[in-house]
Amino acid sequence: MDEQADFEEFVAARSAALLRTARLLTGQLADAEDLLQRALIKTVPAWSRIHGDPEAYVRTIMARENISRWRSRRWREVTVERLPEAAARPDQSDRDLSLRAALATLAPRQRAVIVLRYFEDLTEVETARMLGIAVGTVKSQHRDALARLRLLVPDLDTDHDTDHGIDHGTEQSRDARTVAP
Amino acid sequence: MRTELGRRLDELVSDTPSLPSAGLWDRGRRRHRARQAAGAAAVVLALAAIVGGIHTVGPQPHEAQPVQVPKGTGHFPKTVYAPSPWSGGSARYGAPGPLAMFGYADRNRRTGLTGEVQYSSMYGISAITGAVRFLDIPTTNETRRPGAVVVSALSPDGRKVGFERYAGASGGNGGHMVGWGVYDTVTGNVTDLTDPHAARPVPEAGWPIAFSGNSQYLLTEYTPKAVRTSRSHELVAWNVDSGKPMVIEPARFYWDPNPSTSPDGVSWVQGKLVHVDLLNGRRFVLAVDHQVSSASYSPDGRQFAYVDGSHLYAAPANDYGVGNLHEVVTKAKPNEIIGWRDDTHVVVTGPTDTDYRIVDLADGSVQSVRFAGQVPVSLQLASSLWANDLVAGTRPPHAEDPRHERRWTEVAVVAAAALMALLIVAVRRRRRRG
Repeated sequence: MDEQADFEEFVAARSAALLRTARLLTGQLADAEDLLQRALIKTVPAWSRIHGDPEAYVRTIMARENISRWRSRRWREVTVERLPEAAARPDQSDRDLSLRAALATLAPRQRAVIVLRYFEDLTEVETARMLGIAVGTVKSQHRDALARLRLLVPDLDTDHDTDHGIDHGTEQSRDARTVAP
Repeated sequence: MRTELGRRLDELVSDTPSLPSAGLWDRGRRRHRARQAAGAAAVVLALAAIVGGIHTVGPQPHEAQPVQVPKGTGHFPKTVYAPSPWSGGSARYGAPGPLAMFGYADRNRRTGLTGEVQYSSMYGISAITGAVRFLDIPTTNETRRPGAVVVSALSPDGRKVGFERYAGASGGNGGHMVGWGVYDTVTGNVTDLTDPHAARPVPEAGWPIAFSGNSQYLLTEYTPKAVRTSRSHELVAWNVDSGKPMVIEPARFYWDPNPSTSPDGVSWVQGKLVHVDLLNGRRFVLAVDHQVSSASYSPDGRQFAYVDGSHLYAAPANDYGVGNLHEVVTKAKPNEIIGWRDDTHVVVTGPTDTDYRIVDLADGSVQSVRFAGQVPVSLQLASSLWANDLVAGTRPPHAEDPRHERRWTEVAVVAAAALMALLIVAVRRRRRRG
């Protein structure tokens, strides 16, 4: 029962942050909730092993699960003209809408790389480890994703991002980065 | 330092709520248990499929399966072959069809994964195809030893095998007789013959069970009660289709009959008397001048013959009455009449178990028949086949120790596991490369 209590305490404390990551990965809140639930359920059997750092484990499952889910669903998905969450909420700006739409056009792995690198502030090595891919693949996916974002969101200052060390994140230590809330 | 893109991603999801944790732990535990069970089931199914596949492509019987054939067809083999000790029996390959003969041969069976049991088992030779097959007959309730040695008999048409049934091991070792059984060589069905008044029948030692000439009845002699005396045994005929017993001679005095054959009903000899009971209320008793050890009416009932010591006597017959009996002077030295080739030729046992004599009742001339090959000691013949020519025997295929098949199974399992591991590695690499 101690493990269950620890687990529930962890979910209560970190589910909001994890759900934000999931939302960026999936693009929709409902899918994000589903993704996070599945990741947490998969975490239960391994809880005793990953007790020291469960958050990284959950994020890893989410990132990989999202890509796997996309692989299994892509042939069944129907293309629609309007993105489900593209409908503007009253408090959303045009800037947010254009970025959301641009993210939706990225392949899941490109999107995961962007989210992990910019939202989670992970290095290339950490991103590669989390996605289970090579560092070189992270670089190429990052490059392609940024190019697409620049094209779709002209006001996005990605040059500034690159110049300020995101691409050099391989050398960064985790202590030097901003931790997501 | 937070980047511009990072800040804008933060803004995109700033209004995200938290996720309730209720029930997630229990769902996780249930999912884990279900996956473990599914994994175990998948492994079992995969192994079963591999073993089943190997079993399917393994050695198969070469002979054609028996079919219903008209009575009167079938042949004895000139050369008798015993089955390969590791070969399968009727439980695996099906009923052998009408038999020309059966006997006992050394048999090996696998027990568990690595063990084996060796024993002497009943086997039969098909009268139609010549195929040789162990008979998995429940002579005892030891399932590891089907067809173990008991007192048994083959019907004249080769379609029935009568046998004693034992609880526990036969012939001692704590086992005891519980009744008789009849194995149908065409259908594979076994009919239990159980006397409700004899839980532990005691068979008469000198009396072999015997079929009637029309293969319809099995004649037995036994003491219904466990305590046997010289006046306690009865002669009982069992209808092999209905399984019903009929007491032919009740227990009354000391007597020692021998089985005989007649076209209908049952017959036996006792001293100088030859008895025929048609089991329809008609009974005939023929008195002769000699102590009869073996007697027989020909299949069409037109001839009668009997043996006294080593002398053979014969006479024409009609409705179980006989004409002038005369001795057939012959060099055959007959001991027992075992069949007829036709109305004028009787088959008697010869000097050895593999020698038979066909005696012409008109002039006493003798034709010798000797089975070659691996003739078993307690050979039983379907006597109606003496009317047909002998044919060449069929050599059974050699059977390997099935434990060798298991080794192949192990190799296949390891190969399948290695292949699966390679596939998993390949899939993971492919995913990493994107």
